[in-house]
Amino acid sequence: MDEELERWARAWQSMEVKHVNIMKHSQTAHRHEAMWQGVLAVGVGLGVLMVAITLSLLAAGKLSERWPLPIQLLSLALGGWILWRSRQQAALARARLVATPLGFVTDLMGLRERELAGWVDKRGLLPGGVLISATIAICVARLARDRAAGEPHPFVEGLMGLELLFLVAFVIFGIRRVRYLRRDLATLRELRSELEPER
Amino acid sequence: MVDIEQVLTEFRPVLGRTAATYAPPGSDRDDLLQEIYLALLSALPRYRGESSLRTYVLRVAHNCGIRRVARRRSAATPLDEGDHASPAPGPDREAQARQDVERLSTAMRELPLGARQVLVLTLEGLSQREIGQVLGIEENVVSVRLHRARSLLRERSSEAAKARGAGHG
Repeated sequence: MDEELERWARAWQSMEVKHVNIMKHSQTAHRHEAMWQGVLAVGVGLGVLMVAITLSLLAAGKLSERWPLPIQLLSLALGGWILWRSRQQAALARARLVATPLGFVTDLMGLRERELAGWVDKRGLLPGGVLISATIAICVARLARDRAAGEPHPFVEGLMGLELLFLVAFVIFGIRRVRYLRRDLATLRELRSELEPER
Repeated sequence: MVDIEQVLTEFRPVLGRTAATYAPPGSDRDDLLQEIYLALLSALPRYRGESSLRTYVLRVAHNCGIRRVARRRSAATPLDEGDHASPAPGPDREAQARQDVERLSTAMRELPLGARQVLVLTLEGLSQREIGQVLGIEENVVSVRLHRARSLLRERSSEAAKARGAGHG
C-alpha cells in the first residue's frame, strides 16, 4: 500500500460507527419477520378457505353433496403448495446472499426475468382471464337467478363480492409489479455492467 | 459452528464502514446496517468454512449494499438524501476529521460499483487475492479497478475541493 492509500485507509478506518444495539434491533426484526410469516400463512389459509366455502356452497346447491369435500381438499393442497413455495423462495434468497456480487446480480436478474415473464405471458394470461371471467359470469348469473326466484344467498353473495374486490386488487398489484420489475431489470442490467470484469 | 453474536460484535466496525459505502449517514445507513445484520443472522449458521470468515461476512454485506443500490435506483431516487449533509458539529479538529471521513465516503459512494467495492476492501486491509475471493474476480481485474477507483476518487476530491473553495470565496 503506498502513501496515498495508507492515508485514505487511516481516514477510512477512523470512521466512527454509531454505537447502537443493532444486535438487539436485528433480533427484534427477526422475530417480527417470523411473526409476519405466520400472519401470511394464516392469510393464505383464510383466503383459500373462503374460496373453498364459496365454491362448495355453490356446488352443493346445484351439483352433488360429494363436491364440497374434494374442493376443500384441493384448496388446502393449493394453500400448502403456496406456503411451501414461499419457504423455498426465502431459502433461495438466503443462499443468493453468499454468492459473488456479479453472481448475486445475475441471479436477481434471472429471478426478475422469470417473474416478469410469468406476469406478461400471453399463453397464461389469456386462458386465465377467460376462465376467471367465465367463472364469475356463471356464478353471478346463478346467484341472480336464485335471487329472482326468491332464494337469495346473502353469505355467498358477500363472499363473491369480496373475491371480486380481491381480484381487482390483484390486477392493480399485477400492473404495478410489472412496472416495478421492468424498472428493476433495467437497474440490475446497469449494475451488472458496473460489476462485469473490464475487457 | 460460529458464535454469531461474537462474529457480529467483532465485525461491527467493518460492517458499519461497509454500510457507509452504500448509504449516507442517518436512518438510511442504520436501516442498511440492520439489513446486513439480519442477512448475517440467516447466513452465518450456514457457514461451512469454504472461505475465510472475513470473506464470507464481507460478501454478504456487499450483496446487501448492492440490493440497496438497486432498490434506490429502481425507485428513481436521483441522489441519496443527506448525501452531502455536514456531520454534527463538535470541537474543531474532531469535526474536521469527521468531515474528511464523510467526504471520503460520499466520494466513494459516487464511484461505479465495481471500483467502489475494490477500493473499500483495499482500505479495509484485504490483499488483492482476498478481494478477488470476495468479489469473484481475477487479481489483475482487482488491480485495474483499484487504479481506476483511485484516479476517479482523486478527480472527484479535487472537484469537490474546488467547489468548496468557490463556495467560501
